[in-house]
Parts: sequence; structure tokens; C-alpha cells
Amino acid sequence: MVRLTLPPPRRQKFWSRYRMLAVGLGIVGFWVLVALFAPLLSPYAPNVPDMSARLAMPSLQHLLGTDEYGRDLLTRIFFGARLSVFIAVASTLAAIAVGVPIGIYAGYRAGLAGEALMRVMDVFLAFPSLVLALAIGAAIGPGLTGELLAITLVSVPTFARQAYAGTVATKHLPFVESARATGAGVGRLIGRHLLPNMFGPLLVISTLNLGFAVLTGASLSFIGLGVPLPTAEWGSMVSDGSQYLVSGQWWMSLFPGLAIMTIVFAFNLVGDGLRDLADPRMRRSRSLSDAV
Amino acid sequence: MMVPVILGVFVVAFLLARVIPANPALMVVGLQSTAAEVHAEELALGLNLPLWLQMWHFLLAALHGNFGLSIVTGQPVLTDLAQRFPATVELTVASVVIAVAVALPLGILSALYKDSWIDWLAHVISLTGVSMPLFWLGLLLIMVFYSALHLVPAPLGDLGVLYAQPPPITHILVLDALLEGRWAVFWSSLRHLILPALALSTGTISVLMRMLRASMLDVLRHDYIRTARAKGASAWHVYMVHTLRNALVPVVTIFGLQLGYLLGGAVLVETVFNWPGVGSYVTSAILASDYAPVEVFALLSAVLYSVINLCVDVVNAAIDPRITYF
Repeated sequence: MVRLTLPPPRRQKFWSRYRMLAVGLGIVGFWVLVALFAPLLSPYAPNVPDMSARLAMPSLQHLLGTDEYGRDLLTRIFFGARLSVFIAVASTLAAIAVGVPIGIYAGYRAGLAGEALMRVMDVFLAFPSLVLALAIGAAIGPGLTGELLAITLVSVPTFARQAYAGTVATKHLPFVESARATGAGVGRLIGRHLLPNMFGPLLVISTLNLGFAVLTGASLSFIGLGVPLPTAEWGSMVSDGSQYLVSGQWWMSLFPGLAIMTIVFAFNLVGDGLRDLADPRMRRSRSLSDAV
Repeated sequence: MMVPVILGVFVVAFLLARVIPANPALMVVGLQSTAAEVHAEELALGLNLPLWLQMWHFLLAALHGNFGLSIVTGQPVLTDLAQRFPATVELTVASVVIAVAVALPLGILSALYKDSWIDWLAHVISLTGVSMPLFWLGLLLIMVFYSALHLVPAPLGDLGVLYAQPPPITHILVLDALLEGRWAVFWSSLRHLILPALALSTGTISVLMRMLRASMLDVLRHDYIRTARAKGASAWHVYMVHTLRNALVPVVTIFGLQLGYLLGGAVLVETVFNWPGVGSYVTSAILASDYAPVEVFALLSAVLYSVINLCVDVVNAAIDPRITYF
């Protein structure tokens, strides 16, 4: 007897395949909305001290409690989301803007200058990423500029390498050759033929880099290289709270850290999901290593 | 390939130190000094020389092991780092031991039972592990195991205050205490070590586990695995000898990359646990605007990182005889 099994309905299959991607996008969307509408979400101001409500436990008035100046923790986490999302997006865009042209130039022209640029990228990759970010951040000094520059510079080589690999892999393919033969200029070749072909991998790296940027930014801010007080930044909030940990005010460190974790987790989920989408052979394999 | 990269590392470290807005001469002679004194110190430090000449002097001094003084401790930076390095090695090695002990079985199991609950569990653990800020995880561990459960001592260094440091043999506290049979010291240092090592190990666990899983799955598809099974080799033998050994090559590579990540992570974890290693030294230097230690730490970690990756290639050649470099 022949037994026929029907394939599962298409929609169900789609959902089970892209469940992670959807969950990740949902969490990212949540944080982006929080960042956009932070002032509307809370009756409290993020930086105004209220000494009567110092170190209050989580309660109905202050859902996640207050800090040592009586500022509402949830409000500060909302405003911290603005900074974290901004740092992640700005540093990743800057890294793309610098890294991708370097990679394409080095890959396309294959001359001495391109070679030298890629060797410079190798030098930057020779530093452990967090160590380099700390060194750059410490050289420039605490503040948003230093933080952004540190994260950007550490991320540039990743994008340059990816763009370089993509360019070298495609520039001799027949469709590029024929485009060149029909008189396409360098700009058109890169814009219409090379870039679209490396879009998938670049998107994956960008997403994972967003998570990396949040994590690195939080680490710099935890060490004291972040945006100066009293601006709400997740990393420095965890650091402030750590002084009160042993005396029992656990919420001050717990919740900002949870915020960092969820958004980084979400970026990693989206990055992995996009990778699956772009290349099914790579399903759940070597993705996390790039993110750390 | 390594020599030009390391030269480049020197250049980057040198340039970073020159980016600092503060005038190093002013830092040396103090804020109360006159302009003439500052100028004299600038001449003494060679700050009036062209940049490339300064870089050359920096390189020469570095090759003689002279990396300048730390403003905070007043000692040569290299002496400070050397004193604190064993504690960092202890922490890092302990975290690697934990990471391998957890990641190896979990990675193997999640590959053998792909898409089962254990695979999902491993996946969630690894995703959480790379998404968690290390410093926060450290604080969580302190919160649970010290503040709430009182299972471990206060996160204040690597040894209880009641104990004297044992005379150094290896300079690694746990090992020295063990070698000299000082059981109380050994036990105290072990209890101080466990939480920071655990915190530092999470990222490594995640990465090793996922790499091992992917690599095992890749190897398991090969024909020779089926052949070995068909010839009657036991499952254990096939998985542990035929599969694992071949699956280890990319895992060892990623492990080398991970050691660099551990050096960065050590800065955070040591700061949280007041661990007397290189990382907490760097943090306190950053807070005191003392740049020389930061610069030298970055420089030496890049050199160490490059050397480790070279060693990884050698280890890989030992695991897989097909890999040759000559």
C-alpha cells in the first residue's frame, strides 16, 4: 500500500521557518517605538531628581522602582533606549559608509592602494574588538563622540572585508564583464551590479553589528566612557546600580541590563533569521561568532 | 604576514596615544608648573620632534620593554602589567575550562539530536549568552549567589582578607595554594574564582557550542561516517573519533578568535569583581585619565592575539594532517 503524506500547509511552514526572525523583528520594533515615543510613555522626567522617592522598590507609582536620586527607572530606561538605538544605528551606518567603499575600492581596483587599505583593516582586526573600542574611547575621552567613533572604527573592518570579498567574487562574473563590455561606467557597474549582489550578506552583518554596537556602547558606558551624567544610558545605569546591589536595591542594575539584553538578543535573532533567508545552507551555523 | 600587522599595531597604538587632548608633558610636571617647565619637559619627552621620529623612538623603546610610566602607580607600565597578568591568566583559563566543559557536551548533543528539545535549549542558551552584557551577568551572579544565597564570598578580589598570599611558585593563586598544600587558601581562592570565571565563560560557551554543532552536522553528512557505521563501529566510536576529531578544526579556529574576546571581557568582569588582574588595572587607568596602561594593554593584547592565532594554525595542522602550511 502506498501511503501519501501531504506537505504541511505553506503558511505554517513559513511561520516555523521564520519564527525567530519575526520574534526578533517584534522586539526590535518595540524598542524603536519606545525610543521614538519615550516622552509620551511616562509621566516622569528622566533627569529630574525627586529625593522623596529615593531608592523606591518597584511599585504601582514606579513600576521598576527608582534610583538613588529618586528618578523613575522605567522612564530612564525608555530614554536610554533612544540613546542605545541612536548609537547602534549611527555607528553602523557610519561603519557601512566608510567600510563598504574601502572594500569595493580595494576589491575592484586591486592595486597597491587597495592592498594597503586592506592591510590597514587587518591591523584593526588584530586588536580584540572590545579592547580597541576601550582604547579609542579612552583616547578621545568620555562622551557621545568618543563612543560613536570607537564603535564605528571597530566595526569598519568587518564591512570592508565583506565588501572586498563580495567584489572580488563577482567582478569577473560574466554578467559584470558583459555590462562592462557594453560600456557601463565604474559607477554603474558598482551601483547596479556589484552592490545588489552583496546586499544580502551586508544586511546580515549590519543587523548583527547593531547588536554588537549596543553591547559595546553599554560596555564603554559601564566603564565610564559613555555619555556624561545625568543622561540616561543603559550601561551607566547598570554601573550606578551596582553600588546598591549588595544593600538590596537589586532593581537598579537588573532592569537596564535586561533592556540591553533583550535588544541585543533581538538584533541577533533578526541577523540569524536574515542569514537563513539569504542562504538556507547556512541555517543556524556560523553566525554568532561575528557578533561578539 | 604577522610582522607587518604587528608593526601596524604599534603604529595604531602610538597614534591613539597622540590623539589624547591632554598634553603629556603637563601631566608629568603637574598643573602648577610654569610654561618654561612644561616646555622643558616637552623637549625631554621628545614631543617637539617630527611625528615619524617620535614613532620610531616609541618603537625602539617598546622593543627594549620600555613602555613608559603609569601616572597612578608611578611604576613602569610593564611592571604593573606583569604583576597583574597571572590573575588574569587564572581567570581566563578557569573560564575556558568551564566553557569547554559545558560547550563540548552540549554542542555534540545538539548536533546528534538536531531539532530536538536539547537542540533548542542549546540554541537559546547560546543566543542568550552572546546577547548578555558580561558586566551585567557578573552583577546578576553576585546578586544571586552572594547577596541572596550567601554561597560565595564578597566580590572583592581573588582571596579572602584573612588569608595571606602563598609564596609564589607559578604566580597563579589557585595553583600555588594547591601545590603548597594550603587547603584553606585554595578553597577560599577557588570560591572567589568561580563567579567571575562563570561570567566570563558565557560568550565562549555560546560560540564554541554553535560552532561545534554546525561543524559536527557538516561532518556527519559525509559518506565515511555511514561507512564506519556500516562496518560495525560503535556509535560512540564513530561520533567521538570519526566525527568529533574532524569537526574540531573550525572549532579550534573560532576558539583562538574567542581568546581575544576574553581579553576584552576580562576588563569588564574584573572591574565588576574587583579582580586584581590586568583588566581592572586598565579600568582604573581609564578612570584616572592615565593613558599609557591602556595603550600598552591594547598593544600587547593585539600581539598576544596574533600569536594565539598563529598557534591555532599549528594546532589545526596537528588535528588534521591534511592541513599543511609549507
